[in-house]
Amino acid sequence: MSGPALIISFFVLAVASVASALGVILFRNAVYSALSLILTLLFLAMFYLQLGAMFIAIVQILIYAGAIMVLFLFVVTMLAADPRDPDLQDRLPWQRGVAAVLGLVLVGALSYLLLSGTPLNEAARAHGSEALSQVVAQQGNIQAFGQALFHGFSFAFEVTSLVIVVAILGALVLGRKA
Amino acid sequence: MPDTTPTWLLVVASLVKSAILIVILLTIFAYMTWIERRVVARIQGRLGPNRAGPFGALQPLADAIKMAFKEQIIPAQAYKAIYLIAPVISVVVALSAFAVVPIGNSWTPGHPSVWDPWVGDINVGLLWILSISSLAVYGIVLGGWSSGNRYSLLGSLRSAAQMISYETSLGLALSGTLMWAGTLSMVSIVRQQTLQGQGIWFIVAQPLGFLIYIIAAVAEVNRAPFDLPEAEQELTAGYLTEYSGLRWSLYQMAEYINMITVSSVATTLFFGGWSFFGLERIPGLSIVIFAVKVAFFLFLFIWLRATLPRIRYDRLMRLGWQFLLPLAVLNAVVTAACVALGLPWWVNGLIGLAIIVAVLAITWQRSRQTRFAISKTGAELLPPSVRLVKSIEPELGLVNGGETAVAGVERQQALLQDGRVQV
Amino acid sequence: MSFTYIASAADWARIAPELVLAGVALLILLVDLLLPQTGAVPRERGAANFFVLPLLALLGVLGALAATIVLFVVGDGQRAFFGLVGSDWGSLYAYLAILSAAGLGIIFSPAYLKRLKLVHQGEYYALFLAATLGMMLLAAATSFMTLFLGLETLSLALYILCGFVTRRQSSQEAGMKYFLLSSFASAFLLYGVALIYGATGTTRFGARGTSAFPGVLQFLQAHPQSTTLLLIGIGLLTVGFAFKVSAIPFQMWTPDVYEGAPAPVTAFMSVGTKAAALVAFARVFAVVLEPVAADWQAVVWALAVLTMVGGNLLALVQRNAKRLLAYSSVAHAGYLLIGVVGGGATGLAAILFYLLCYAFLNAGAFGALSALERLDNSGCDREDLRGLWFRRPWLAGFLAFFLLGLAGFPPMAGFAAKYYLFFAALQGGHPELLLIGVLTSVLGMYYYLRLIAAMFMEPAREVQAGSLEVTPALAVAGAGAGAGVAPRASGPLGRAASTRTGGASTGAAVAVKTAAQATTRRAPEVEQAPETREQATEEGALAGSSLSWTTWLGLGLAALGALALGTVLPFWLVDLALKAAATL
Repeated sequence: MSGPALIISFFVLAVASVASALGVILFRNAVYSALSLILTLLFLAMFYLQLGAMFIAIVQILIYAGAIMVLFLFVVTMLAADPRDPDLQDRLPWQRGVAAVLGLVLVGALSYLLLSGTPLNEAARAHGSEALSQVVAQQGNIQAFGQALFHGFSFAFEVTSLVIVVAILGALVLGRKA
Repeated sequence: MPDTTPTWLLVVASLVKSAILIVILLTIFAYMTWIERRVVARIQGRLGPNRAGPFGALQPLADAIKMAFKEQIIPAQAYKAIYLIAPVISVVVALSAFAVVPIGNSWTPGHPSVWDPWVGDINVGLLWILSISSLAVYGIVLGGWSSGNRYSLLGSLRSAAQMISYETSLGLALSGTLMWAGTLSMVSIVRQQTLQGQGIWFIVAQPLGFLIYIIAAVAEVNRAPFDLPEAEQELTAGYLTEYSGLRWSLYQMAEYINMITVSSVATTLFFGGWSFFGLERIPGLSIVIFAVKVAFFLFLFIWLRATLPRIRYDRLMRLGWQFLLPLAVLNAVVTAACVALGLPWWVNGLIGLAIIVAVLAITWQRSRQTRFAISKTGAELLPPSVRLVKSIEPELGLVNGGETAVAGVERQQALLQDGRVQV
Repeated sequence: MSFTYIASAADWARIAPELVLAGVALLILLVDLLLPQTGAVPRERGAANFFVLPLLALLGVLGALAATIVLFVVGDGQRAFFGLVGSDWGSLYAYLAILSAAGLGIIFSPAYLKRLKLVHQGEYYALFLAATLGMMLLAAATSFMTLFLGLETLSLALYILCGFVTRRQSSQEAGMKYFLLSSFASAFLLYGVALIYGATGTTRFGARGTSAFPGVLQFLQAHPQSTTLLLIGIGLLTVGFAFKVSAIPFQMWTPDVYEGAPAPVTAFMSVGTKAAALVAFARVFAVVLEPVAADWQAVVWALAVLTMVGGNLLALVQRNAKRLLAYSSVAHAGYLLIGVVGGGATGLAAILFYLLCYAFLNAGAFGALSALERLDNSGCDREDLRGLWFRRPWLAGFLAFFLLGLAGFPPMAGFAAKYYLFFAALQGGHPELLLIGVLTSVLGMYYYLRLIAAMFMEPAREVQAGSLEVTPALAVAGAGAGAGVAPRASGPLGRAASTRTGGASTGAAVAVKTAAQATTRRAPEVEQAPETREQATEEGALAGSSLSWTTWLGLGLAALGALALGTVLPFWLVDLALKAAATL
């Protein structure tokens, strides 16, 4: 995909994903929030697809939408409280105002940076994405990913297994009856 | 696809092929319901539907008309939007998953064209199926939750837990085949199994993987004996309780299409897909070969349903996590070792068979004796399932000597004191 | 760019300390499973658990320490695994601090766990070692990949350890709070990493002076142009790091977590996390992002000043010793950030040396508190510490020793450490930081000394009735403030006071509190009916000198380390730190 098609699809996806991400925090019903989050993750997968990263896109759906969010929904549908419950009312309403102001400051600062400076120099593009796409063109999408994972970044891959062991241990400790 | 094919042609071809595929799948769904009823009836010594048309063959049509005109009830306590959209999610997801399944050989082997009998051959084909079918659980969970009914919610949660639990084993079981095939593309996986490829169906290298896959697949599509989400004795009809009319049949449709999908995956990954020792070179015949293979698995599903009683929920979970998952990991490790060391396929196959035999032997041996659980007081307890039906008297009658009789009485008293056994 | 690398044996040798820890952590889980069941006592409550598992964990830490020292001597200091993780002296030096803290934390653990009746120690020690491993990876990371993975390993393990006392709500709260806020911060960091990757096209750091495995450093040297992506990335990275080192204004989690977590865990995490995160912070900013230093220096400068001033001010108003130490650790993070701003070999060396000293002092202080903490997380308020000297003189002495060290009194390590840090500020061209640092240190002495005063000068609440005539001392003050009041007290008080008046030459005001005021204490804990019995046994264990020998061992080792670092070793270790910093 290239040219105007890329631009148009990017903006459509961008608007859609931001809107669904807003839904996550704006819905009063926790199940709707979770559904919005799923939608956001699916849109992200489409971003990856748009960039030609087929494998990452599919894995994004498989792991986030297919596994993690199901567990979310599992808990939320069972425990979701009634949003009208007075116990769940915001105890610190002034925080919203402060958060909004700070958020605006952040957005302002980021937009200023984005609009004023050079966003990216060409060297970085040549160094990063173009070199990467050459490898992908040579080896294929999944093959390049596998090579990187099991050779260049094998150490990171192994450490990830350690992180998962720790997470399992943690689930064991927290899930045990006291 | 060669670069000469214009994009618009690809898009149009995909759309047309998708439409044809959907029509085929829906027809198969309709006739599966009829075949299932006939087969189950035959196994149970009944007749089954035999009035509408010859052998009742028009029954699906009659059912469809009935369903379409039934009232669709929306419960007052339902979350309406989600309640209405949940069955649609189920069907859409089930249909999308099928997109990458090659149902036949390419018409011009070696030269990909828009006429090939598959919608898309993407390089992550198998992952596509896995990831899309992992979304299937949303249809069920959302349907159950939005009905606003406890039975529905419980049924849907059961289903979610079950699908998540068996998805891990399912994926791991397939990884063995992937290691042999060395590709994720469904078309290439089949090619690997033709005579031009490695010349074997991967079932011979992966018997253990296949066994795990087929068990997990049955659980994944919520079919008997793993049809806990709609266990009518416990949960009325589970997540389906509140649904009626067309939306109810949408869920049925999703279930049957999912069955077809997992059957197709089993066929493609373990039984050579559309290949049959060279016969597949006639493109039209390859589709027939594929259909026959899939039909066999579909029959297997019906057969299982008519034969096996429903498994208890805790045992279902135990089977998934404590039995299938370790076995699947073992299979993945063994396969990885075989592939990495460059061993021939039959070594892997033999190891797999040996593991299956060992597991069966252990199961057989353990099922011969009653396993007693040890209670907190140290007394031996009958397992819960046996406790209800087995009286303690015959056990006492069996003992001969005085000492053992005393021991038996003591044991009985211990059992009684423990408060968990009532005579 | 090609990915066809195969890891060699030399790569594995370079991460030997990590390998030892990972192996022992898994071994502990296995041993925990195999430990015999003693009669009716379930396996995890068995007596063997309180000895075998900590010993194993300690051996693991000692093994890693030995491996570190071996690497110091014979290692080649090269990057391992294609530039993903370093084995340079800088990383090894950080290992020393982290492993010391971990060792002390493990030594403090068995007595604490026994007193609070916490079983399931296999998981505890395995997580402890996993957290240590994560910290070491974070400190040694030479790629944003490893950095994030190390961070996640240590954070995940620490969330669980913080919430390990499942019967205590504050512990659960600590775990939850740490989890939520830390994940939030990790997200910032990760986003920053992603943007920096976008701006430079690599996640490796790249080493100074060599072109093997080029990374961000080499890219920035070639293109020292601060593009928008890079700037935003650095900003987000700063937020993530500032959270991890608990710099103000990202310090909110620190007091709650340090207070709620089990004291041995706090002893370990307060030091280990700080050491690892600061070394990573220093490496990323002062080394890798050095070509664009002008872009971030002002921000880190502001962070440092805010943290020094704010941390010390907030510590002033704390009543709980654990919270006080938490805020003091915030303040220390501020001092340490001076080294990042100062940069250069001196600044980095000062950070490394400071971390090593801080490891012994802070772990020692929290270790002493671990002997006082009760199941319901009381026992560490200033009210509870009052008159500790009369009840448990040795413990009070140790605590005072560590507090004085943290305040920066010679001859403890704190003084030498601060000296080098402030020296680095001067050399790095930031005399204003030196000034602020010294002033806030003086401010810091106030709360440390007030705690000590409570322990030594004020009557214990249990013995108030009789103690009124025994200790008529009413007021104490620091000498420098000019309001020095000679303590009219019995022997031990006099000694303690003279230590203080001798040491507090820089001046500090000390609380003035009458014995009468001291009687306005908390209500006794009678109302906590369900826990009364446990409380009673705990009190029994707390009373007198029935402290476990392991605690004494830990306190002794920490004190010895602090003293040695302050008197015997500073010059040699600083030399080593200088050499190490050059390799970061």
